[in-house]
Amino acid sequence: MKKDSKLISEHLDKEQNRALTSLLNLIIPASEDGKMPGASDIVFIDYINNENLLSLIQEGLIRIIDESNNQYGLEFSALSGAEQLEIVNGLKRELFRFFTDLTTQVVQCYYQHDDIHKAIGLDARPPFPKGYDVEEGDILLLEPVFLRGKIYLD
Amino acid sequence: MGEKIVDFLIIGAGPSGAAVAWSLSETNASILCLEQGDRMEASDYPSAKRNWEVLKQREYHVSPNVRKLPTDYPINDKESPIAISNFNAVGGSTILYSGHFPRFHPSDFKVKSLDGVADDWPVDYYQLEPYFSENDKMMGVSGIADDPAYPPINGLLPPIPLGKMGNTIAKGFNNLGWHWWPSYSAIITRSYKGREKCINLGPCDTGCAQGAKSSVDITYWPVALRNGVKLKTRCRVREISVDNTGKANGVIYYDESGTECQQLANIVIVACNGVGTPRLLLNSYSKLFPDGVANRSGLVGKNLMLHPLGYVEGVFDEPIYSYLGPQGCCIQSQEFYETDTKRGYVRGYTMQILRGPGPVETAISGVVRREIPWGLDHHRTFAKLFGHTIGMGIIVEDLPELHNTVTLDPNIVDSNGIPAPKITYKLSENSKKMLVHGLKRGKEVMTAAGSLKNLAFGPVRKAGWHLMGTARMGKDPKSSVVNEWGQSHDVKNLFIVDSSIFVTSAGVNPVSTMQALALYIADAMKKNIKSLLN
Repeated sequence: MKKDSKLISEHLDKEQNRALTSLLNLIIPASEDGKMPGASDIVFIDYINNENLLSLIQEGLIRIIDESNNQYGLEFSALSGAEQLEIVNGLKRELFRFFTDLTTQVVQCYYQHDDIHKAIGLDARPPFPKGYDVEEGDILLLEPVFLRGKIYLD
Repeated sequence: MGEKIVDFLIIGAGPSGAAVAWSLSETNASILCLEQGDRMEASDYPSAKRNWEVLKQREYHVSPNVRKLPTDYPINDKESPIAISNFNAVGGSTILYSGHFPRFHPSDFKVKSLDGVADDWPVDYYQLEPYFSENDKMMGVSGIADDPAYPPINGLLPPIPLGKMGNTIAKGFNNLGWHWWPSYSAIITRSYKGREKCINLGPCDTGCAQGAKSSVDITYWPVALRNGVKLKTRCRVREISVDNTGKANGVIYYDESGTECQQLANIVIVACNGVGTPRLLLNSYSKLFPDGVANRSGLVGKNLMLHPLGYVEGVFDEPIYSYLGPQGCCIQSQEFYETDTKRGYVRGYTMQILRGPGPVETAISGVVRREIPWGLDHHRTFAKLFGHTIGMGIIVEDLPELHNTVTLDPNIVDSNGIPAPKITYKLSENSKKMLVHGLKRGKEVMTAAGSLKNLAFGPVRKAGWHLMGTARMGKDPKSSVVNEWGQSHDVKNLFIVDSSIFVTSAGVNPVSTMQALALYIADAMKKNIKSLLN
């Protein structure tokens, strides 16, 4: 699956894009069995159409990149997964809203994607017009409830 | 701008306004309904869109403060642990309701006599029974007869499918020897009155693209309009006007362009729900009614009841495909509905089984609850939750208390400059005890059904759908706003037909009872139409 090319956004520079890719892979990495794509495999930035949210994401990325340079002298995307997590954990309080909003947006985008729906066994379509089949269930289970008799007060 | 006088002017095209409009349309009277919302298009509903789960959190959110549509008005609910939900449209809140449609019980109308709390209603279950049946017929309701928790209910369409999830939780109830019954659902399970049957789209609570959920825009309104009722949308009523004898003579409203208009009427019928109705009455102040029209009792806006809601969720090892099926309709239990003083509280509650959420909601709530982590474990934990959960709403009976109120906010106004309603509400000790009891029993039944783990909390904040009690009915003008016929004690040609006239709240969803009551009131109006119009 292609990665960086899908994430290029006029709102983010190249380093920010790379940092975002790394962050998305920390939140939802591809599964080890290869059945589930990682969050960075899904077009994400195009999904964000809220300018406030975009600027929040950009500000958060800038802070993460700064911290990475301060601590390791390397850009965030060049760090190991463990090092990246250490940076993230160190900034979780300071960037609480950033991480909360980013995670929510990533999850929303990810679980609406056709590839993900197929991977979790759903049809990649809206519920209407086909609908879904639901098994009727066993109405005979009501027998003991019925046999118990009236429980309401007149 | 003026309009010619109409016989009946109905404010609000939701469930009670629609029922009254339809009932009165049998007469030769001229009837006009003013609705601040729009007509809905089924093709616009989220279930016809790929991003339906996200739309539920935006344009179709339950809170007007989140949606912020042009048809919404803001509601200050910061001084309430329960946020107010509503929807303004032809169809009102039935557009977004789940269609869970139980009736009140006989005991709900006489809580003072039975339990020594609140007040008895001036009507009883059996007076309303024919109107419940008439309403079921108009709406299209599915379920099964012979429920031991109710007097006989007939004429139901076949029940909503239980699914593997329903079977699982039903066995849990049976293991404990507790009552359960397939939900009474305002969802048609076979073709009915020109509408197509339910195809299990799932998110009924964002509007039904199939038209199988019985919202009143597709049940009552088409017939009422065919019968000659006029309906104007995007008309927001500011106040009910009165003449110098204290009789209502019409309303002042804003049309879509924001132009102030007047509509004259012989009889004014208010159907704006338990928050919208007191807001309108309180804002209709004049020399004759300085505290708001129909408010000489001082009770308009008081006794707000909201049904505090508890939530229980069980997680099951086996896939039970709980994301399939109508979201709010599966089965209900009324094992703990009637009072048993040994439990430490009076009255009771309904356990309403809820289907599991879709993938987005599963993932987001899992992340928020810290159940789904970042990293490789994300996929493993998501797979253990999605389609593996059963939800349960605990709907506790809320008793009326004077300090729970709807007032006019001194600072916040809507887009027409009309003061927003302000909610001041706190849970009673009785409700808290009932909630605790319900959450415990909910976890017990989940465990009895085989859940691996349970969570339970309450009250749920975004669950203030059931808005009741703020213009209560009664025989004494000192202790009620309207009489047993929905007629204002103070203004004889002003009627209220929505759930604001409820004396108590029962422990079930209110729409079925609200509509039965509206039909009952409309019937009385028809019987007395000559004297009313004279």
